Amino acid sequence: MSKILSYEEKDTWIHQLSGVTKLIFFLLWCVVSMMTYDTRILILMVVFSLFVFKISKTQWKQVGSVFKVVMVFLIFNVVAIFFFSPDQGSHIYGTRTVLFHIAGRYDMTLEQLFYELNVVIKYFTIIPTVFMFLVTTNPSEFAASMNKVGISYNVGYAISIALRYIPDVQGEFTKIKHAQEARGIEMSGKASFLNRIKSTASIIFPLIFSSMDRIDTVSNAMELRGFGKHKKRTWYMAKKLKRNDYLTIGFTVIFAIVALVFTFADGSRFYNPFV
Amino acid sequence: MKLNNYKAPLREWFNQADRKKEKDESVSALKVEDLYFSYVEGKPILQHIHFDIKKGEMVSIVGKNGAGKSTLSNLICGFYKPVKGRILLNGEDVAPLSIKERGEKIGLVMQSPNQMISKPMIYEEVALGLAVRGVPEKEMKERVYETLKICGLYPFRNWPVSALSFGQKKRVSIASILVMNPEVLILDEPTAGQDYRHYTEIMEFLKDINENFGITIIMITHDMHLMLEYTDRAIVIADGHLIADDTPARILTNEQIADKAYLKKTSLYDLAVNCQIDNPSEFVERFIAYERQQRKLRIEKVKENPAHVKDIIL
Repeated sequence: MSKILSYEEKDTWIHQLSGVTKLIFFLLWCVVSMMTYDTRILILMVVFSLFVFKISKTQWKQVGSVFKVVMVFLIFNVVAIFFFSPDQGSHIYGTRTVLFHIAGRYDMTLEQLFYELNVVIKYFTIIPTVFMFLVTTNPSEFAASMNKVGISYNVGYAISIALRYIPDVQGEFTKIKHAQEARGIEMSGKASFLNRIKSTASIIFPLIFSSMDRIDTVSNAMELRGFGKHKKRTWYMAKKLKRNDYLTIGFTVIFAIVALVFTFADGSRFYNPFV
Repeated sequence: MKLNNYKAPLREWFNQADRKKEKDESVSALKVEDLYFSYVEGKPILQHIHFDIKKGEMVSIVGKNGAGKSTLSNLICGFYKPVKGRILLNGEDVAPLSIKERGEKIGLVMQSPNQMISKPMIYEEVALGLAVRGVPEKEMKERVYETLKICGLYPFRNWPVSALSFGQKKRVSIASILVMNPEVLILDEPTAGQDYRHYTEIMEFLKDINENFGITIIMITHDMHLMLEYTDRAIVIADGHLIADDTPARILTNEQIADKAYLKKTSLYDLAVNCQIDNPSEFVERFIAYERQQRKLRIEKVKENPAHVKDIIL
């Protein structure tokens, strides 16, 4: 049984990279993706992140269900943008090409479609990299590497625990769900979609609260074992930055600079095909 | 230990003591045929599991930590799908049934009560199963109160679950399953976290519903005493294989099996061997039966007059 969004050991060069390298890549990647609206760069980024996703040997079943949830949010986001500012596209690109009239102030314009297309592409530049980052990074190694590059080990440890608990909380959820089903609450495909959502919600809230309780228990247990007493600690899982790490970081930084320079060269972060 | 003076009387007692009553079981309640399961391909957790539990039996499944006992219960309830093999409930293959449909016949009390409890109040928690089955309010209340009394939780019926200890929560989870009157009851470590008094109460109650209502009970346990005292039959699982299916006394007196499954051989066996009793496992069985009977008498005495409570706590 494969857990969703949790680290799985595989033998690819992406898995062998230090967690810090992947974090730097991921952060810069997000910054670039957020800053630029240049469609050409965004498409290049989508292609590249799909490529990275592919060579990280991430399987669909590891991320599929989360992907579907993200898609729901994406659709919601796109619809909401149109609902609240249907003329955002024309405002940005300076022209207004009406395709057809919908109702009231709502016109479907080519500019708006293009603008929202960019938003969609942005999502797709980030999604594969988030997935790749989460499923190829060993939480313990990640904490160690963060500390090695000068981040306080308390912070590193907190992040690694958060990652480490993803599979735990999922396991817990599955067990609770099974227990509820065995007591007569149908949640399999034999129940209606709406009922399934309702029953799932009734599990999720208690689970969130019990996970919150666990924070307290875990932090007490760690304190009892002397966590945080000294300024420094040793690491079992630490990885030194190797050639591939420096190459990846170098590539990421250069890519980020080039992409941003290219984006802002004409003084606007939007690529405008309409003039 | 010097036993010379006691050998003869002990042998005499053995010959007089009642045998355990043999039950006449013929109808299969839960049958497992050549079950095979693995999480990762090539690393089987369970293989060639084969047993047939008859209606009205009380069986224990024992084995060391990680032997696959809980996985087996999860397979029976449909939480996981077996890679190979069949599970038959009352002679019918359960493969097409969903967890909920299996749950109407099989009640599972999981190891950790925290995974089973989802309502804030004890009453609501125990009533949940009945509420989703649409049992009328009045009947529901009666059944819940009755079960709470049996499980020693009646005084807490209006308490929030969060105020209970682990052992009490475990009893809440047992109550919430019992209240639904399952045909087959599976308990994963039923006595973990219980003190001796509640242990005895719960076990006597289970024995009672087993004998009087014919509910088939399967207990997953580490507790050798529980297995000896309360179950007629034990299934031993070690490293994913079923290595024995026999009476508890015979299993605990079989050195090979006991070693393989990390079970502790009972000292009663050594006693019987030392006293040259021909059939040591039979001796163990009769001794346990005798002890149980004695305690039952003591409990009845307490029920008549609660001042004798110190007698059962010993």
